[in-house]
Amino acid sequence: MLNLNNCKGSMSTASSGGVSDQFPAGLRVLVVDDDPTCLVILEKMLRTCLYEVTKCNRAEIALSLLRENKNGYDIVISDVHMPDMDGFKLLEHIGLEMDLPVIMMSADDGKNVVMKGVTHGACDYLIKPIRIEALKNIWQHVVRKRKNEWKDLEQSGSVEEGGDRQQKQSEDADYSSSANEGSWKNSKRRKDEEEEAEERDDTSTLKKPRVVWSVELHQQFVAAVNQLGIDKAVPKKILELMNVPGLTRENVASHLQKYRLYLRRLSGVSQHQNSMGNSFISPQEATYGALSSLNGLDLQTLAAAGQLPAQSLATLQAAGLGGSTAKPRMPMPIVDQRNLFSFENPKLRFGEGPQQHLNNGKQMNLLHGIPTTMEPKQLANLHHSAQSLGSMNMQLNALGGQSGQSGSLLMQMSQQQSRGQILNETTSSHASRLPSSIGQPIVTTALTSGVLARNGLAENGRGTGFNPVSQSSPMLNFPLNTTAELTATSFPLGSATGVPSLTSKGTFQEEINSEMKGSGGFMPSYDIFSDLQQHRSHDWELQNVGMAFNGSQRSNSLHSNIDVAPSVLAHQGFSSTQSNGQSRNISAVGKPMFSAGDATEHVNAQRLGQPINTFFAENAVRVKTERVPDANSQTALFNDQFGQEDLMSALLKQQQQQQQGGIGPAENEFDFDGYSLDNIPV
Amino acid sequence: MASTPLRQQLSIMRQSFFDEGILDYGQVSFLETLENEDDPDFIENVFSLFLRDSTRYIASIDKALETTPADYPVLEGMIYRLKGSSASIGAAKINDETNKLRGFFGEGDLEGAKTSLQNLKAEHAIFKQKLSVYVGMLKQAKLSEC
Repeated sequence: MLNLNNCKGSMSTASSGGVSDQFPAGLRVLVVDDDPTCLVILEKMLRTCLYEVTKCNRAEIALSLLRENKNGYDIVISDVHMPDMDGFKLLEHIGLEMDLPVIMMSADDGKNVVMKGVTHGACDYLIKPIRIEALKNIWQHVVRKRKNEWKDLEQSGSVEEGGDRQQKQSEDADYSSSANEGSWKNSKRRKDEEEEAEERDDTSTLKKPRVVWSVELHQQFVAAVNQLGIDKAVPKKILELMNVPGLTRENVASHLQKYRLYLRRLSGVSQHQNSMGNSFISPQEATYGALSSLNGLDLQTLAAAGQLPAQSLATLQAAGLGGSTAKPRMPMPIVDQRNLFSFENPKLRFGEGPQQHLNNGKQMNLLHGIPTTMEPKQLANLHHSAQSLGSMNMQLNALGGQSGQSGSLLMQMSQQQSRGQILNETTSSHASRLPSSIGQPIVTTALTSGVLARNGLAENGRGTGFNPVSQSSPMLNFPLNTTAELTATSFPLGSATGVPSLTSKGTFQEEINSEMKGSGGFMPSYDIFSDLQQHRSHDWELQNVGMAFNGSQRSNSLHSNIDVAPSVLAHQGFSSTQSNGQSRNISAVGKPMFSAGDATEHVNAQRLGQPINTFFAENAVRVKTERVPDANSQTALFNDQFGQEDLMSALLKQQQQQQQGGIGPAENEFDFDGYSLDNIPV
Repeated sequence: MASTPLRQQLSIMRQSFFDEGILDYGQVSFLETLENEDDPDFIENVFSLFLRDSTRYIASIDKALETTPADYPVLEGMIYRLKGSSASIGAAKINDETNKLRGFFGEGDLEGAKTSLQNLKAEHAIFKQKLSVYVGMLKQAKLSEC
């Protein structure tokens, strides 16, 4: 069995060629078991699968590890019977706070307990002795979760980009292929993207601009629903009460559906968990309760931010959504935590549509500890932008004119954008603004990043190190709008789409910046914006981001590498994946968010051990912003989950910046070969 | 590695474990494949861990059954830990006895559980004795081969 034995658990065997069978190497796994024998054996087996393993023998430690490094892990495997905390309780916490996929395991194969695992939201339940074959497949849960979240996002609004997305995807694929060596990645990404696109197509009957359910929007929605009474709340009436221009009945209907599922999940959860249950008593109550109980920090943060008006509700919902696990959660796979943000984003993007995070916004943001009050939202938005990834790119690109750095960012953004599909047509017009290097019009409204990407943004990482970017940076979506404006060029984003995002843009930027600094992890996406807006070449918060990741305990030193500026990563979303090729294993996961799967594709294994981390981290970082699967708003950096892509971009950027103060060589580093992340020892 | 007398002896012992049903061939040979140059002492380490922890678990089970009333939560936790670790390490007979014990426990049959525990202790004692020797010889063999 151990085909992977050749690596003997050393992850650095990843080849730069992005070997497809490298994926999901680098998957960041946290394994929790109080029995030392099992823990050691599991760790060994997981390493044999080329995963990046962190082990711990107590649930409390595991939780703090996860909290400290929100985007530091892709999946958690936990035993059921543990002395300090019941495994199910841990499962719930993780679901609510981080929204990571959790696999339960035990020697106890009684039906009741297995059922309990399922109802509490475990992705899987493994009976000891664990077979290595079972472990080899766990990455599927990560991908699936992200994909679902992505889908949620898509469904929250109307999906119109199906076609665009596909196009983008293929474009991205092409794009990335040039950048990455990982051919399989590209194809994988392409495939994933196509799949996603197809899904989206299926789900949306109308081609409308995607609605981003920002926190405020959601609050309005909730207020309307409460006013009508949950039983009597019909989309038409809700729509009337909300009185939001541009919002359609369909938007409301799909959002209502999600909301209902969320409520159901809350009530289900409450039954299970005393602790959680209380908070979930009723949506409203729950929210408040949840606010305090869930993540005091998060909630408070949110509350402070003022973002949470009906916040508690949102939080609660988020929590509920997060916790229930039953349904695909939030759109942002990576950024659960950022849900809050996602709300934010939607706001911004309203009307832009491409990516709405609907779920994201709703769900988790509140719960997760958003580093800054405002920022989280922003971040979330950014992340959510998985859809908007493209937008990010766009913006970046637009702005990119300026320094190498920004250019690279933009490039990245644009790249992502292209993936991000968000770009609207405006992008093309804007794109012109972008530096030639970028080649993409991106700018405009974030959206149709596809346009950008295509143009050849840095794709190949040349200086821009975008490759990652092209993908899907969720962030982009959001930022696009904002950035568009920033660049001062008149990004159509704001105007064109009439999306609220534009307006927020200004604020967004600030928030982003602030967030970035604070959160470090998530920031990447923001950083970009701020950069863009300001055109300054600041070194992207990525550094902060990087640091955030470093905190993670992972065995890899990836985190340290990630310093690169999460923003970069974020933007890139893909960047990580692309460049690395190796680590991209994660990219697959992260992919959903961004656009593309690019990120994931990239993950190919360059290095087995590391790249993945990086990838994930990047994705995590990015993803969070974009997708928010893990929604670790904070760590955005490496959040393995999705942020990896972001991280990558961030890293790249940073490197670029470092190198020349602008885009530049950094790319090399970020580029697939050079990923600094890759360098991280396994 | 060369087939030294020590190695040969180890090989014979190992085979006897399988033949006697003390160790599960599939699981143990799988664990052996996990050992590699990065972690050459994996087998010794993991068996040592099990030897130590299983002793602890059985002592806890014994104590929990002897208290009045029996300490159910502890019993349950210990039984599953022992079940899981013995299965993971391939300690087949210990695992069987633990399953039987779990059956009695599940039915609330404390007396049956106590009897079953005696069997478990006996199997564990045999296991411990034999595997301790094996692990010791394994370490010795590696040292001599360096």
